[in-house]
Amino acid sequence: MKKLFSLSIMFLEKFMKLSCRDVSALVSEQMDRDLPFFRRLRLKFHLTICGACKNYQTQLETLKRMCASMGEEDSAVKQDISLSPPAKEKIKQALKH
Amino acid sequence: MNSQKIDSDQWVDQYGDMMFRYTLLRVRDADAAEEIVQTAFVSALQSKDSFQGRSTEKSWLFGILKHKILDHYRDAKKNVRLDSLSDEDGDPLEYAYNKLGAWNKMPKHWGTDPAQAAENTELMRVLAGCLDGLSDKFRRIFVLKEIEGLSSEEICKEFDIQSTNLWVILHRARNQLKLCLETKWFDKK
Repeated sequence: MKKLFSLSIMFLEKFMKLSCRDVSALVSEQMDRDLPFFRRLRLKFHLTICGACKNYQTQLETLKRMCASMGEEDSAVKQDISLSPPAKEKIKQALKH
Repeated sequence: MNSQKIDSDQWVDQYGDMMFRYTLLRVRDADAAEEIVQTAFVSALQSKDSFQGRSTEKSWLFGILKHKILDHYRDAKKNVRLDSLSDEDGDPLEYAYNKLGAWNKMPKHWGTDPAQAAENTELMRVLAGCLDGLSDKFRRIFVLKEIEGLSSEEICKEFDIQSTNLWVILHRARNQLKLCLETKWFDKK
């Protein structure tokens, strides 16, 4: 009985174990598709016990949020850039024909 | 516009810069961006009858602009092979792990939450600079996914990319941007 218990713990550990390298790829992949159930479970397990990977996940989420906001029509990101006067003139001319 | 005559000069003055900035973030090359803005204006003028005031003039123009940007991506894909990874496309975090796959240098908390970061204009400018450091291929795919908000399926279909390849490219692009943000911003704070 005891042996069975330790065997199942071993199995659980082996099954749940992902390296941080694997996890970083999965954290990113999860942003692009739904992960299969067991992979999602293993990822979740790792993230609850590994602060470094949790930080990595927050970093990628921050990046994602910033990009979404950068994509908005009146994003201030390139506020200091304008069409050059000749370019503007060229477009105005093109619209007259 | 409704039955009024369009003053195209005023159009360009009012929306030109906004549209140019929007395009430049997505295509990087200023000449190409100018060209795209011009094409969008011309095509808006030609189809002005289709504008029925259901949306604002601005969002109507931006709708046309978005299509023109996607057209540009479609043309440009002929020049860049998207479905292959070369040596220079390696994972920038390759040396971040030891032999067992554990972190050599633990990722730190950036000390900001995602919403806060997105409000920080200065930080966003740094990110825009980092984006320009990506290779053409990575930049294009990353922009479509994270800035344009296209789905993975749409991108794979449009560019004939295997989805596994797409995930690898996006992961590497994210890592490169993360490192760039740390070097240029978070490690300095």
